[in-house]
Amino acid sequence: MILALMTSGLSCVERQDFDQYQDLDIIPKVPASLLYYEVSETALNNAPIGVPFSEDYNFDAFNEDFIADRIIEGSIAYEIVNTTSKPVDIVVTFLDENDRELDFTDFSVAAATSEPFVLEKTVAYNQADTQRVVKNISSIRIRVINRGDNTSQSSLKDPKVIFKSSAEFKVRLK
Amino acid sequence: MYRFLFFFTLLCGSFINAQNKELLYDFTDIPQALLLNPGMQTDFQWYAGIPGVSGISFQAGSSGVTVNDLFAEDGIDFNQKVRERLIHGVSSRDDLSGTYQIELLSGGFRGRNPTNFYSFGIYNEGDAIGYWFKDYAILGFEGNADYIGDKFNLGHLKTRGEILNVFHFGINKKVNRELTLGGRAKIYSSAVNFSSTKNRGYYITEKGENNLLANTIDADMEFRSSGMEEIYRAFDEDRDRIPGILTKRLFFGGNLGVGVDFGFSYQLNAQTVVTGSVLDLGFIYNSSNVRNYTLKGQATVEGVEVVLPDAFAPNDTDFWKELVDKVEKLVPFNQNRQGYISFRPTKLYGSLRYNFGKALPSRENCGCDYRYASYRGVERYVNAVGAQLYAINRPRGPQAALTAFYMRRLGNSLALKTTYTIDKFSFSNIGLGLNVQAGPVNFYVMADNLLALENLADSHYTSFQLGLNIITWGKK
Repeated sequence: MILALMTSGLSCVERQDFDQYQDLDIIPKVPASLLYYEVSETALNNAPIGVPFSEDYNFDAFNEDFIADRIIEGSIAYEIVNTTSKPVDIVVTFLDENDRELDFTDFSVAAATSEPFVLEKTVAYNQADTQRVVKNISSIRIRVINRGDNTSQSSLKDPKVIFKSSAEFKVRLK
Repeated sequence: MYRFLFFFTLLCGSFINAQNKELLYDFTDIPQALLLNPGMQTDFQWYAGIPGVSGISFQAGSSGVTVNDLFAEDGIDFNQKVRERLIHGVSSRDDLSGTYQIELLSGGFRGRNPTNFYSFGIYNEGDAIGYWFKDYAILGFEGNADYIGDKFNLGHLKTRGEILNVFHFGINKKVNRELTLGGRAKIYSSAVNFSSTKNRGYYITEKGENNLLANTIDADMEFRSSGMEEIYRAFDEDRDRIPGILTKRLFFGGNLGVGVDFGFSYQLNAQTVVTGSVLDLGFIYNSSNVRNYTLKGQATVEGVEVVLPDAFAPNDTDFWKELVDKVEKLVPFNQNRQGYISFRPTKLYGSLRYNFGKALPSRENCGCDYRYASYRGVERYVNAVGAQLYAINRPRGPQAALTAFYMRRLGNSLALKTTYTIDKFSFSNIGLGLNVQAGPVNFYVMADNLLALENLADSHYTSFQLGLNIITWGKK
């Protein structure tokens, strides 16, 4: 009784609006690397000219339930560094779990001269794209096509084509 | 969700009451003050607490944000308030803490040797503290995209708590006219205990060595618990079992421990008293219903890495699975049931009291025996002023509070104590305690941080205590 008297009789509580909690948005923006792919000039020289080499790599980061249910929008950044003496085409294709094509990005990479050739590209995925593409990615297909010759040798040290990628997406936790 | 709410409620229950009972400390008219200093100057012949209501106290403290800071109807966007006032406004040293204590049984009696006073009882206590997990909150709320190169400190997770029954027996000994010593032995019966206080490590996203980004985790983390799994399971399967489980574990069916309290009072001169006590020097060995979780190791991830050999050839390697397996191997998340020792939050009190004004007649019943003439108690005065110091051992080191007090007795039937306390929660904590003695019936009620009553929702700290006892001094 005394307690009630002290809390209700003597004390005051300014009006609080706990429904504000419903307005709370917890949407962190999370970046992480996706795929690093490296192919040496020797490998390119050993492959037939103009014939693509293609391989699928399992990638379940986005279709884990926790992420797939919450991912909203974001972007995927690519950086390709070519220190070989030949131009190459690279096609990155995202596949769903039934190997159906969801989206692709292609790159025409020039040959290195005295300096490495660097190509950067960022592909944005809005909410619709993210729902259609990103959350369903189950594997990544990399296709490399040598558009040059298969005899030349770059003067740069340890010549190779390096494909780098990272993703930065918003994830709705609440 | 329900389980989360249940444990949140349980924790909130634990986040109620004050560890610092500056109003009750050295309030010699109230038997429950013996729990804060077993060496308090006593003059009771015997007392008996009314079961369940002889001593009820609860407190909640938040050194960071208040309810009003977040939920006031101020027209400010809630997300902005959370971001500015909570996520970035609260320090990792700020905490949400509290305790409740309910006496189930309480009594005391003066021995055949009147210089000895014995007290005993059972009380239920919950105590918990959680420091603001700032870096986790930033990571969860904003993510790491804008913090490339910044380390998120995994050590920001620091929490501990428990719910237990304490069975105690204390002896208060008047050594001579100046000195009173006391000790109390305690047996702890713990129902629930959890702690995660020694976490170390970091999580960082930075420019990668090969790929664009590298995510590194370096963790040495542990969460230890006892009693929670059984309740958790009952919550899922049959919630009616929970009271029975708690009761069983609180009465020697859980984890047991031992502890002691020590205290003294020393009469420097006729009107000046110095006191001190150390409480809950003890531990509990958690061996039943233990469930511990660990995350220990270091790993850096730069995504799936594919380095083709010098000749294109089909490759069946599942690089993604290899990556996941590698991380799980480098930073394994394990569970175990190893028993562990949990130490109680030890508390320390000290005070200096100066009595003045009119002296009141002694109520003590040991004035007639010539053998104890030299032990006779000191006179009580209508006024007292003084200072008190309080400290408690917490996961991030001791928390201290300094109190100035004034006490006024109106005859033998009414006593008031007012305090002004400075601690990490508040610099304006004024408390008031009232003790009423109506014949043998003793009733006390105390409240802290009265200025905050103007708007409780904006208070960083609040506490209440009350109790009902039967006391006799044995004098006709």
